[in-house]
Amino acid sequence: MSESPQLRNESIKFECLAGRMMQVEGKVKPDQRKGKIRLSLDDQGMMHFQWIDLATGNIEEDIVVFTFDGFYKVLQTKSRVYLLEYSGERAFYWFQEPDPSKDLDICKSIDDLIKNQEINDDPEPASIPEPQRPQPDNANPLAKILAQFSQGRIEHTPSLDKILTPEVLDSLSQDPEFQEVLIPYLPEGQNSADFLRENLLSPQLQQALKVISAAINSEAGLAVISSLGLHQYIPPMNEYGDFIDALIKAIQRKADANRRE
Amino acid sequence: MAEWCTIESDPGVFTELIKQIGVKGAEVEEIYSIDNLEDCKPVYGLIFLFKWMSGPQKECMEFYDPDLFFANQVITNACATQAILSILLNSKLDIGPELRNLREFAMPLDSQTKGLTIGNSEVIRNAHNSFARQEPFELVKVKATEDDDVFHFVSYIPFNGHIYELDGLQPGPIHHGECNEEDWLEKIKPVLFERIQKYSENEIRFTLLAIVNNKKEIAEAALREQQSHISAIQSKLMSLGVEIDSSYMEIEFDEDYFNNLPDDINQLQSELYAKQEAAKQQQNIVENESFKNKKWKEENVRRRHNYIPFILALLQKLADKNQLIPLLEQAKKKKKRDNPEQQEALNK
Repeated sequence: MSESPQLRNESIKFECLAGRMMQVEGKVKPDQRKGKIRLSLDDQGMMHFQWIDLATGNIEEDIVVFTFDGFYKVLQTKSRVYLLEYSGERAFYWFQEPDPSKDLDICKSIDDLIKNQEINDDPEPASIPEPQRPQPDNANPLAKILAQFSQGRIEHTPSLDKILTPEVLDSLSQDPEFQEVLIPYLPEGQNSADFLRENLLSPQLQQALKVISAAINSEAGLAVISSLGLHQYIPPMNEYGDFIDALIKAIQRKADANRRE
Repeated sequence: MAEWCTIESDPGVFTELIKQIGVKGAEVEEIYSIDNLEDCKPVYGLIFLFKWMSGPQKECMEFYDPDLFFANQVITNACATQAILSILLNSKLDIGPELRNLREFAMPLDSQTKGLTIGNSEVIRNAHNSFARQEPFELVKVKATEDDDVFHFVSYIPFNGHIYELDGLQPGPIHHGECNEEDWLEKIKPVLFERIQKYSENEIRFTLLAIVNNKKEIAEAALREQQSHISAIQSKLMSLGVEIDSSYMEIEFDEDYFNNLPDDINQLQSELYAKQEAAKQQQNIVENESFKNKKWKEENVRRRHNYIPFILALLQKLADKNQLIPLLEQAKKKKKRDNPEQQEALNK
């Protein structure tokens, strides 16, 4: 078997010049080699995000990306740094295209390709592809995470409905501070303190808590947290267990940040 | 074919659903005990809901009453709605123009095509989908809870002197003997009982729903009648010189009823008392039913509500008050207490 797997029947969807950035001791440092990012569709309809060393032509990174993954500009820096968020992990790149004014367009093209890839008719589109061919070590981080879970090495955080139990919710219903904040978000026609308690204790709210928990516990967890407007507060990977933990900590970080202001 | 979403199997949901389709004077009620089945009379049909298991194909009728509307289930997620429709389409209820047209159009078609016709009805689909569970995340389709097992619904109806089981996954109706409208509930009980026992033994959850008359409308009609009788009796008493303090005087009454009233004041007064008591009872039913309908409505509003902003605001407020992390720790502790083995495994 070949060391650098060239996928058979793959079709290249996009290429641009970019180098990798390596995470070293909490810092992101550029790898000076010239390279390119390639997006290609394999014969099973899976979208691969690859990084290729221009000098050797080797595919050094091969990551299967799903519609809930994404490619974004790193906003904390003015330099040409971009990141791929996939299955709860991040990989960083720096653009090497001659014309920096096109960077944002390229970024958007990559993100669009990832997000709008055709979903095949497989009933479980989010299933993990079987790694039958040799893949670079980091190609399937999700499988690693899942394996850790199944071996019980990562502690599962209780889901939101277990944190916000009926007893907890009931006690909040009488608190004027919570009433003031929450009443505007109640369903139409139910915007009163009496209805607040009814809503807090309703099976519909419990259902909603379960739905959010399930979405956050899915592979797309970080993307879901980002979509809740908490992107900038997600703690570094080594500071949270699973994604529910990440959500709770992100919300606490937001509260702490607001307080500092 | 356009998509049908899964909806919750709840009497409040189904009652509003059939109203939206245009059915008049009916509601869906949950039956908790089949011993009380007769209390709901008249029952137009029963819906049995259970977790689907594959099983041998049942003995179905190949030829049956041509007036019986039997449709195969060709759309997924719509089986509850389809079970309700198969009762309505075979009932004497006022099912409204949409269902009348559907019945007329699809009657001559085979059962497969009948199923397709239901699937293609925009009015039915829109009503059904308006009860869609909130799926707030486009990013990810999640199985919300363990409640999402595959459920199946079958209907039982009396029709032209026979009891039929209508199961859209079977090739035809299943015959359960002869009946009349009076005794069909009595006769269907053993069939239901057998089925319930089978599921209970396997610890399979099931639900029994009935399509019955709209209880509020019935009570309101009865109340109106009692009130008109009261009004008639009071008028009669006044004509006999008795002083009456009445709030029912403006209510119109039936001349025949008035003319047939006795002339004896005592008799009239005891009759009046009986009618007033009966009216009170009906008034209670109307109030209880109004309350139930109001609750159902509120629940349906909540089913359609997006709670994400509410939950985020709640979590944020807890975090602002430094209560969130303690609650998380508390839940973790409880989880450890509840799952000691798992904890042991974690420590290894």
